[in-house]
Amino acid sequence: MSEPIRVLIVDDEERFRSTLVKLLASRGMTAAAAGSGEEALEVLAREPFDVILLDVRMPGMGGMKALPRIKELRPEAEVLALTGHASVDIASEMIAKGAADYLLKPCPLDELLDGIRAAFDRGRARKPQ
Amino acid sequence: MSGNSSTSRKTPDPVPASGTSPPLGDKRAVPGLALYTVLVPVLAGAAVLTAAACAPAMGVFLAVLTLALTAWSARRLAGLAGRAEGERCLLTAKLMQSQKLAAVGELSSGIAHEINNPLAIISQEAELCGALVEAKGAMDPELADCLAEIARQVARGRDITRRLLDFSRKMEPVTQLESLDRAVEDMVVLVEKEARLRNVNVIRRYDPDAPRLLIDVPLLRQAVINLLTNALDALEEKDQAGGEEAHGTIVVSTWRSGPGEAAITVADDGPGVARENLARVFHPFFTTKPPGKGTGLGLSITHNIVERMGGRMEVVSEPGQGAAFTIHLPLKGETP
Ligand SMILES: Nc1ncnc2c1ncn2[C@@H]1O[C@H](COP(=O)(O)OP(=O)(O)OP(=O)(O)O)[C@@H](O)[C@H]1O
Ligand SMILES: [Mg+2]
Repeated sequence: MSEPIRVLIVDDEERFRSTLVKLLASRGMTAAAAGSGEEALEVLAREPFDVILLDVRMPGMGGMKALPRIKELRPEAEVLALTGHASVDIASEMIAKGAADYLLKPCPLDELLDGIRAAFDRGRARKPQ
Repeated sequence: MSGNSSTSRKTPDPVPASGTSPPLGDKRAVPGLALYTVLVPVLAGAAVLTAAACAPAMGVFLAVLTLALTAWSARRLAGLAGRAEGERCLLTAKLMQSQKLAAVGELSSGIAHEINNPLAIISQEAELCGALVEAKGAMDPELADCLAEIARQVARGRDITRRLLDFSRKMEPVTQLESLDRAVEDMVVLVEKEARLRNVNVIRRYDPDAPRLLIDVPLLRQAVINLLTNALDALEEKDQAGGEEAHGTIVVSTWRSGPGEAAITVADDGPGVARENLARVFHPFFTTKPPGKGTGLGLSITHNIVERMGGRMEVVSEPGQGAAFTIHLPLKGETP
């Protein structure tokens, strides 16, 4: 567990991204941010991440569209949908498309950290050592 | 049959929930009806859709605008509802009620979504603020209390948006053949712990030969828990008002309410529902509880769920003697 967990935050709210980057960093994770699905794909093409927090609705390419491409590009990354838009339909569709879990905003930091760690552990367990 | 006793001690004239809107004025006497039944819901829907696509600030503005629009429309409808009566008018009232519910549902989820994002930012800023102050070694109890209060208020806001989303959720019931007792008992167990703490007695009167019904268990649980928490709340009021011997009893029964029907009744001996409120308790946002305590959505969620399962609701209450809420479900479980 010496390697820090690498988290990519994909969200169109600038302040949400920047503060969450700082918060995750303060909890020993490495975090980067992207403001849209397109931007996320660019970042992911350059470097790998363990866990991706993905908003569903964003101007430009939203999470629903970005998810399959992210999975194609980085199949080993675990995706957590994190959104203010709660609906059973959206949640089940995101999970069907490969998201590991679905978290609803506002999500208390501790719950979010638990979610990220759980996703990270699951991802590591799947990977052949 | 044993369950019947819980309602029979109450006075007659139950108010059917689907007729909760007072009969509406004669259609001919209401020329601008299309305004409320078509234009307002369409506008509300359009605003929600636009809000989803544009900047948050614009979204909030639209949400407020839509809120004002539907509130105005609802008020006008309520005004119209005050007048005449008759079979056909009752039918109109039912239609209005469900259209109003649909519009309010759409509006609610739009608002909930728009509010969740700022709530998320507020909660993160408070977290970061705490972490920064902590790192400087400058945290003091008062500041810590302020930050904790922000977190509590965010949680409160979140509870409200969750409830709004529950309310507006358009889930198709997924039914399975199950006995009513099973779904009811799970929730009774849940509430019983809290009840014991408050010295409230929970009595079960389950029909020993309860038939199995086609029900959606998670949805029905949600419907039942709302009735149970209301009963607990009602008894708390009584506790505060009545001094020491006022502890209260909740009777939960399952019984056959008719040839083709099974029913669940949750009755309490709390303060009951005031006469003038009987017709309104199922309306969304109707609450007599203090701010932060009730959203007024519990019973309308229950009502929605029951209706979706093809059932109906009924309330019997004599002020000062308690209230009994009954869910009637068709034995076939098929929507009529
Ligand atoms: N068992 C009861 N006894 C007396 N009054 C009741 C009872 N159940 C409901 N009511 C009345 O009906 C109102 C609406 O109930 P409802 O469950 O819809 O909302 P709420 O309990 O006020 O808020 P919420 O359920 O959203 O927390 C209550 O505020 C209360 O006045
Ligand atoms: Mg309630």
